[in-house]
Amino acid sequence: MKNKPAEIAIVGIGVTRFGELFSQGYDDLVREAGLTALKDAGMQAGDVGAAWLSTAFPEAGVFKGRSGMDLSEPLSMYNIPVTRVSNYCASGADAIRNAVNALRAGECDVAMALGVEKLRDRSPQDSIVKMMVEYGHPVLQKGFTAAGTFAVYANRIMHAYGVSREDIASISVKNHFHGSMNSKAHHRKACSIDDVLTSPMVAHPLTVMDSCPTTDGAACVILVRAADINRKKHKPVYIQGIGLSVSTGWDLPFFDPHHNFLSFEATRTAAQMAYRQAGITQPLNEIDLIEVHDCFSIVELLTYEDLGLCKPGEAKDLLRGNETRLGGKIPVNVSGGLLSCGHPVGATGIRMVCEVVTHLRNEAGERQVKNAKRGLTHNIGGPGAIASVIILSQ
Amino acid sequence: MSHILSYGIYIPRYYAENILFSPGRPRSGQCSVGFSDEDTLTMSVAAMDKAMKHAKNKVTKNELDGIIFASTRPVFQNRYHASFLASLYGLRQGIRALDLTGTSRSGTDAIMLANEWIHAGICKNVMVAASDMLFPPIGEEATQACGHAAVAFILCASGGVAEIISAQSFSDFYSDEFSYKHEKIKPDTRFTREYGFMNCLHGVMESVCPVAGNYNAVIMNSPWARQAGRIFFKAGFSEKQLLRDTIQPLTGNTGVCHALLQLTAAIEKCDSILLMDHFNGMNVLAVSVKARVKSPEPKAPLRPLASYHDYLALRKAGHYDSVMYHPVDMFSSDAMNFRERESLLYLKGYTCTACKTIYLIPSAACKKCGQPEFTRQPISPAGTVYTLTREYYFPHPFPPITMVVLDLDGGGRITVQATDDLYDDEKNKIQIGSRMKLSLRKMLINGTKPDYFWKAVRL
Repeated sequence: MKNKPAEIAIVGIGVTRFGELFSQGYDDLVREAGLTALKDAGMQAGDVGAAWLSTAFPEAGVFKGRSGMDLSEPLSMYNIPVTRVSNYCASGADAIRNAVNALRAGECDVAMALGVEKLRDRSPQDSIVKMMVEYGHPVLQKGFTAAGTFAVYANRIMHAYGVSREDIASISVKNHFHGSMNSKAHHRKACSIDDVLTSPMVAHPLTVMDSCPTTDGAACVILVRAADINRKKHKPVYIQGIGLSVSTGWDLPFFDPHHNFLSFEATRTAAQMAYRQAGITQPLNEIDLIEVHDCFSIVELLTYEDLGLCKPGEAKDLLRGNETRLGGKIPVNVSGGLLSCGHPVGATGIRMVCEVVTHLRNEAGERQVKNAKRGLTHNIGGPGAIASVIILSQ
Repeated sequence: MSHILSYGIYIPRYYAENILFSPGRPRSGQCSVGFSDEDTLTMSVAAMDKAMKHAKNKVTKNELDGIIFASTRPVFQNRYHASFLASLYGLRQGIRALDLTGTSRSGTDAIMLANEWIHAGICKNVMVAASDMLFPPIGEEATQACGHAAVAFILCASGGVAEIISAQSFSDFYSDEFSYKHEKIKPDTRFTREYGFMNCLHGVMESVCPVAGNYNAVIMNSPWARQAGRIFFKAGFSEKQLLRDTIQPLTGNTGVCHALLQLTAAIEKCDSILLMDHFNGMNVLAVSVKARVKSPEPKAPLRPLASYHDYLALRKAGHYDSVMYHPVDMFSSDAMNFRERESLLYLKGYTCTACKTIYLIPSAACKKCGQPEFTRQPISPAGTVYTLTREYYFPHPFPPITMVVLDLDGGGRITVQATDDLYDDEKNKIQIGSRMKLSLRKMLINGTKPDYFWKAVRL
């Protein structure tokens, strides 16, 4: 009989402000997030036994984050294993997953997972758009930006399920409203459906307001085995389930005649892994808040179905019934999501975990989800090839 | 001599009415204008593909053992376009390949050379691809040849739609306008007509001695064709036999293609044709039609350009740019292009032997059923839009770019840019369910060598 894996807890969190942080460099962000998390855990850098650095796009930023040394150096954390993790937008969650596995394997007693991305030392066109134009295969998928690779899902869903443009826009409205209550979000201004629909088009039907901004930021978590929790100083939140799935490739979705552009298999698979570990069978009733990877508003809509919150084609009903708004049946992205917080790619997954931890500690203030006992974070990247789902509980 | 097995014509979608070039002095007529991602190579491939289709399986790509490319606008310098075309189109390595570039008579030169290769037994099946994409200096479009087109002929030893009975070439020193070290040399017009053309035509009639009664159609490809009437009448031809140039009003003067386009028009309605192509001398071909072509090829572009500004934008010839971002350094690799050509150029898919799913890109096992065995076979170049988007931030001469996910007829899926979509009006809007076909075009270039890949055009 297999031994039950050791329970792992998050005992320290640290998140920088997300935005155009021109006064902070890559190392500054690492220091702020890392030292804040260590302080929250009542620890020093020397207590960390192993660390994972999540930076997804060094080449789109300032060429830092290609190696674990870019975590060690700013934190003066030497002579321990430090691994750079790269799995597109799931990098942060994957860093946490690796830290969890290392703790369970006994490689270390205290693990750090830190995500950081410094994208705004270059103009957004020169970073993110440049990647799609100048790098990658010379001909395959040439013409797409990141927005376009998700916009094709929007057009297919609107055609197949009668989802309206307003349904998709309502996600942006909801998340920008939530983000207006988050002092660390990149954009903190609420908006209307009309604001979303009339903002400049990026990739039809997605507008600027349907798209997350290009953002700097960092987030960090400190993890220990449950047996090592110090009740005098720690406010632990437990990782009940963690799933990661690579379900397709970079090009394959666009050349696979069986891919229906209505769903992400990676999310469904990762969710099933996490739900199985956490013993969840009815996620709508067993989870209190969710942070979903709304890099573009359409992704959040799809993800409701992929996480099993509703049947295929019914995500629009959750939106129209305000069920995913703060105060609704299953609040989604009460942080403001990526649309409002922004998306420093390597940091996002860890920021989401920090957000859920904050709610489970009952420290989220104005946007606190009442009686939150269990939360879920979701990331998807690459485009749609890799997904992660993490279940956290008190 | 040899036979014309089949031919194919490619005319770009757009045209510019001549009035755009000289609004103060209205002129009738128009010229076809290639899209910014077209060049003489992509147009040649399109024409070659049609020629192969019209050959109706009487020749395979593998049986073509010669190719000649003719153009006054080659894409590269110091590179064999005929060989490059052979590779782009999937012909076998090692065939006889030759470029004829330099003057507008290169098209009929190529036909004559192919004819001689076959007559001499050097080759059995020769593809001739003639293509021109003439952009006169800005401001001179009203007075210079500026039509874009491609025409391809497959010549063989027997069978087909027509036979080349005779082919002769008459040299002459005298030239129309030519260039010397980028300087245009323009002789006196009347002198050019009388001594450059009429004198040459006299010489041809005396040496070739065409018998009027043998032909029911005479094509005189020259800007001085109208002045040739009296020489033909003297030789016994009647006005009925002299074909008017019906191509120029539709496409403008298409350079190396022009004589050949007129030949195809004549093949479609006449029985015996005398084709005379003048430039710096004259090529004279006698062609006997053996079979009436069903479904003649269209010889006119479809949509007018709305303004001279749009014409200039097409002239950017593939320079991709946007207000916000100027691409500098596109990754390209000859090694990758060579290694992946079977899939990405020749559209050979991987078919799962178990569930028959077709993929364009290889993998170790089928995504659907997990089985590891595949066979390779061609996939259809036509399909239906499954989903799409319009990208506003990708640098492009005419944003937005429409990206389409096409379900191909018979199986397989490809995601590509749409093209020839300068005007996004409701009537022509691409949407889910639209029928499209693949057309080989240039990908991004910004002063760098282009890669060639498929894009989708409306069926």
